[in-house]
Amino acid sequence: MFREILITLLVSMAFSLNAFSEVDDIDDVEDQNYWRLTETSNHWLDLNRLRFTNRASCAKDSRRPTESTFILVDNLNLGRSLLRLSKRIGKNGEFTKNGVYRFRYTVTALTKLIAQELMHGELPLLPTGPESTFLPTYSNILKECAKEVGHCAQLDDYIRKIWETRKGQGHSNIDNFTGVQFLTKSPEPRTSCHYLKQFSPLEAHLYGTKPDVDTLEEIAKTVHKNGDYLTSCDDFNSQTDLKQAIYQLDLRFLNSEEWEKKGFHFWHSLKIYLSWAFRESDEAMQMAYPYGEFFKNIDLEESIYFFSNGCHSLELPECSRESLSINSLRFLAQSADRKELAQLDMFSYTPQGPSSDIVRNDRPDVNLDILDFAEFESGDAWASNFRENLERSRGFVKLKLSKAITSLNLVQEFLGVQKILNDLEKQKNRLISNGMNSEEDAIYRQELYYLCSEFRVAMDEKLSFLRKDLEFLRQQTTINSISTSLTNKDLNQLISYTSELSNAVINHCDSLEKSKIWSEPFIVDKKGLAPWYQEFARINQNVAPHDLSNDLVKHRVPLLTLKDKKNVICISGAHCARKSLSALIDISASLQYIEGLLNLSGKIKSPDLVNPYAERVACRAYDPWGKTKSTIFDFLQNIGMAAVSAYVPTPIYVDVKLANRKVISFNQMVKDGNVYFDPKFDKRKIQATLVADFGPLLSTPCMVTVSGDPNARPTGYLYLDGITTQACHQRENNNVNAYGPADVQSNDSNVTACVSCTISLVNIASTASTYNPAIRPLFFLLKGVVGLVSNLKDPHNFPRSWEVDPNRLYSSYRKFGFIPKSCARRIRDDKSCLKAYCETNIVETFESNFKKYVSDVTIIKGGKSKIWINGCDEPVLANIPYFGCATTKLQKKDFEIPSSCKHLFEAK
Amino acid sequence: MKSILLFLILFSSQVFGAEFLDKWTETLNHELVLNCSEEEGLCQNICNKADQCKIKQTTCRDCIGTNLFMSHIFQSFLESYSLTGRELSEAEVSDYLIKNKFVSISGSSPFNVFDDVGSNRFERQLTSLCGGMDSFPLLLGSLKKNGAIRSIDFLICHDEMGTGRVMELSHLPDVIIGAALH
Repeated sequence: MFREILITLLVSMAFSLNAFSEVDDIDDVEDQNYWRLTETSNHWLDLNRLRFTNRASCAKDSRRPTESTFILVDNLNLGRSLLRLSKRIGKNGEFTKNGVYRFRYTVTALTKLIAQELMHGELPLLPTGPESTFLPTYSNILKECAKEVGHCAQLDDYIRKIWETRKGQGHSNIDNFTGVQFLTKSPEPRTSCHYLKQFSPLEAHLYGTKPDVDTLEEIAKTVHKNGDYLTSCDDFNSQTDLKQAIYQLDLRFLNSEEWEKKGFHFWHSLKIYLSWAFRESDEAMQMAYPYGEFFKNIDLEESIYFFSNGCHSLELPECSRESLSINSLRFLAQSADRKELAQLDMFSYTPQGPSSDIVRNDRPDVNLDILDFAEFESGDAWASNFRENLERSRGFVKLKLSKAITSLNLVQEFLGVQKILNDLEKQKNRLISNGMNSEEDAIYRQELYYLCSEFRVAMDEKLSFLRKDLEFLRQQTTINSISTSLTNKDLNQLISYTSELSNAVINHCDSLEKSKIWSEPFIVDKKGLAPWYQEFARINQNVAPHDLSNDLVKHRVPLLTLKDKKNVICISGAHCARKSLSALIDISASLQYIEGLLNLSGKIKSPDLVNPYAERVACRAYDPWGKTKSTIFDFLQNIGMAAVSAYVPTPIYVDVKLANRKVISFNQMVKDGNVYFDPKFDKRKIQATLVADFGPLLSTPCMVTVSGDPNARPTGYLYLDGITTQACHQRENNNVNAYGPADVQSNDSNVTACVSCTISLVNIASTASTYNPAIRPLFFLLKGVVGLVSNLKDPHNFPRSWEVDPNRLYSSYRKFGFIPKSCARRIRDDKSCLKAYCETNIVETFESNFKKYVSDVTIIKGGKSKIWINGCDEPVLANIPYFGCATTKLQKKDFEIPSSCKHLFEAK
Repeated sequence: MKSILLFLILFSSQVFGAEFLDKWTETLNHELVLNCSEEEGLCQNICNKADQCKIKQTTCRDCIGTNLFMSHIFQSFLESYSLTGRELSEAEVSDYLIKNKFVSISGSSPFNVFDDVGSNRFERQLTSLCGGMDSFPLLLGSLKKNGAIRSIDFLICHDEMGTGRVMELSHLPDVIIGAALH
């Protein structure tokens, strides 16, 4: 309890410190009764508030459900398919174009329909996580579905039953549904859907942290011309690019406490219902008419992506490979050329995996336009870049995986281990008998060297980096299903074959060494080593790998060739064995990011594209409250030292600090066929420093510090340090055992103790404090306060957030013609900033009820105030009481719309 | 050698005289149309009509997409499949079409989102497996309970008379195995 109060106090202090310079009144604006900007936007902007956050707040928000999402619709495949179909059935280009629009309409309208039914408590929530066990039938179906890849027929049947009984009371016959699985209908739940023509200051919360006056004014100007930046989802005249489109769906669910508890279930349910309803519901068939039957064949889950418009999430982030690999799509959403993309871990031969980014970079940028929206001239251009990168990456992984499984299958099926061994044996005998002099023999020697090097590194009992991966691969249901669908063969069979082959090859290599076929003179031509080996061993990357196939094929008939296309699969025994090994490494590599790139789960993906701290918090690599905790700890420690020193005057004191734990690697584990990561931290949790200030005792200006941290300066806040000499003892030398960069530890962790002596130039304070017991507690109190203030100035690591309602901001802009500096704070606190509270009350109530912008207001207290709107020559009259105008809750019925303007208020 | 094998397959087997057509209707339904010679029993067996059956195909889930399986079919068919040499009897064909949820994929199928619309690359690949003649080849695949493709099972090749033969596919391509080093 005390801790919570202290945290609240600290956070509010942090706010206050940053707000000292701002004055909370608007008196600097000249007295003005009329509205400066009378020409208003005709498009009422129905958007959620913009939530600006700093790093810690953004990290914290990742554990909360979003109320605003972007929807990326990729309909390139559909377009291609419709074009083929149109030729088959004799239709023209309009057929394709209308089909694309009809698809977009069906996706967005159905999403809205499902969202509304969930918000109205007509459809039950399908919980995710432990709460799914409250529904026994659903929970059992999920368990069964986890065993297969893709859509699950049982889940489809279950959803069908729910859909058919929605809006009624029949749910309880299907499962153990109670009120817990329904959202309570709030007074005004609503959804709004916009097509994004162009990214703009309406996404300013993705571009920066605390919005200043200039930013606010830019947002207001954008609201003024909002028709240039966004339009309604079904305005297809504005959607000229037929390949993809990006939309924004905002929800306003007023019961925020319930939303915090059930928001993640909401999005999880929405995606499941959408997948089913798109193919099976009558509503979708009507929306998609006349394309409904055809649309049922679309891989919907590959065609749409949801991603949060801000730091909140759609699904609770997990530290799992699926979650991390989906989030790694962030790199594909950024602006990068092909060369930069090729450097990504997901395209390497031996990738570190999606968790490696967390280890490499534990404090990435956030809210600084990390998706490069500003670099594209339109929303379509940004979406197009993302779609193309995604398509290219998918193609790469699919080809790699499909080729690897196919070639491994062929070698196993047609050659097995024995044929390869026979060829290897003959190769060896030939080399020994020929004396290894010919050009052909030279190639064979190189090839055998490659064979043994590659198998030893990959498959040797002691050296292997792949062996542990293989055991891991066997446990994963995903890849087994893929392998079976492509080759009718379980991946375990292929893994067992490669293991058997490796044992045979490694034995053969031992015999080759005994035969001394690589004795002098022999120089390895490293270019011929497999690309994965070159990457793994970090062999000069400037030299392009050289496949020996062309050299070998001149000398012999290949062992395995495709009949129809005359494609050589492999040439010699060594070549076939190496190809098998490379194929297995390719399979292992492809799996690292497969969940992100391919649609294996049959679920619509919802990556945390704009918030890299989602996975960092889930994997415990960043604690949003870490700085707050350490600040409290420091402060309390100093208070404690002040208390102790008041009673026990001593020149020795202890300084203890909570260290930031750093993730150095991850353990992997398989649970229900999914891979989860468990972080391993560096061992330091607490840094203790013992300080003995000998100055006053020994009359020497030396203060000795013993610490595990070479940078420890416990009194550094107060002293102007002089010359420091330091020596550290290290636990061990820098022998780093690492399988890759992810395993390399920070050198600091080897330090056990440092002793430093600071010749303090201002030792007087300390000296005085030792002799005067009253001063010493003050010294620690002062140290505590200075430390606290210094910590609170950290702009990133104390959670801070600001919320701006674009329409309230716009009303201030219209009123004054600009955003007064004195309004900034109020606007950032999600409040209106007009001249008088009475005016605020009238404008807010009118605008939110009638979805029209006010162009001027004449307040007549105790009478009928006049509200002017564009397009109406007569004012709307508002009945305002004489007293309490600012505080009286006005209602829709308090406004009288002139009969000549009623048409402006009719729903379109 | 290959031509001889195909000749043997096509002309030494039972003929049950039906043409198989992959059709998309005006209402965008997918059908397999069987045109039978009156005296034959395939249409009679399947839809109780003598001359023509129109079998409405169910949704082929995720078939308009670039998932791994569709890529495998459209991008590396010849590297992955070959004919086993076995041709299905009339009874087997009826049985397959009646008992299974199936999908037919022609060379110009709208499910092919991998090639340009004008390209007939995939059609040529199927045709080459049929023996290179004007054979209007057609793949038949079975669907899982959820509507996704389970496997591609048969290739239908037509002769010059328009009579289709249903050939079994192997999940392995035709290969040449070289001898071990001398």
